[in-house]
Amino acid sequence: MTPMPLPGTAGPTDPGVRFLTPLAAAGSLLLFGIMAAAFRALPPPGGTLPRSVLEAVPLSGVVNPVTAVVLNFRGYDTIIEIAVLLLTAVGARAAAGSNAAAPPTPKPEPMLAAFYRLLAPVIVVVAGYLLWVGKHAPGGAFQAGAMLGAASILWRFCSGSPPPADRRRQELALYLGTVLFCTIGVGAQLAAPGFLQYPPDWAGWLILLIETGCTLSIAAALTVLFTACWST
Amino acid sequence: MQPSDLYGTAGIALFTLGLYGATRLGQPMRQVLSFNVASTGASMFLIAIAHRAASPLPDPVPHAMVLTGIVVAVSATALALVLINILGRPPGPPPTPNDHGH
Repeated sequence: MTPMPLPGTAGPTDPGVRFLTPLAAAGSLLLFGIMAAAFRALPPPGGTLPRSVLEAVPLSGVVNPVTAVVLNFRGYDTIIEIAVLLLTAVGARAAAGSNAAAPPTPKPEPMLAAFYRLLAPVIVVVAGYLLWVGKHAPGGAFQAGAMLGAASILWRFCSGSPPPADRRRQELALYLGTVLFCTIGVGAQLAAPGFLQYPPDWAGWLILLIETGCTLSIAAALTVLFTACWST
Repeated sequence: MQPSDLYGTAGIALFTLGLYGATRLGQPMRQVLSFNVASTGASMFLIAIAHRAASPLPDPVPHAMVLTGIVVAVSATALALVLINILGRPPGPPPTPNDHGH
């Protein structure tokens, strides 16, 4: 990427707004003081929320409380998050414009490409492990998706060519997470108590299915975002 | 004074520092970095909050919020970088598909 002049003139050197700098500094310090005092004054932890989460974990289909919160108890958050990721990926690609298909390609490096061939299977195995282990330990769709996205971006650095995924498969992976999550959420509404309330017997497998879709979506979205940044 | 108090206060400090940078640094790139510093501070604060409880298990709800927040921060940063790149383009007609940009 070529260095470019950054726009923006209203910097601290702008004489018209110079007095704003001490004002902003004082305001930030004041905010820090207020928030730090509020943090110190917090009552000792003893709310009922952590306990009720830990009590409900056996019903969620997973053992790891964080996964239970992310994908079961607060599924709304995660569905919106996946949708935000999809929106930003589509938006960034649209904003990057038509030359997104032809980014400047670095020179191919044979050593790096050979190294990548060793590294890629390890990354995929680690991503699969992280996806599976999310059920009972820290891990899950986001960590696994980040690994896969990193693999795809590394390919760009090492080989100098765009990732060899064809466009249609990338589109499919990009939308898969949101579509799968919404479908299962609405299906749960039709078959069971309500939107995103999975039946406890199936919850573990439904969560794994959603996480698999989200992993692919996150990896595809990160790749699209990186390509858009690279090519503008 | 527990370790979580220290981490929480440091998170608040990072958050306000990032907020100051976002309001007072004129260049968009620096503002985006400032917002990233602020969001890291917010995440740090939430994680510190999760460890205040006496139980060995941290509170999972703030952890889930941080996990969500990281992904949103990454995607928002990438979108902002694309927009900054477009702002920094030299004025003129947009590049055609045959033109390899720049």
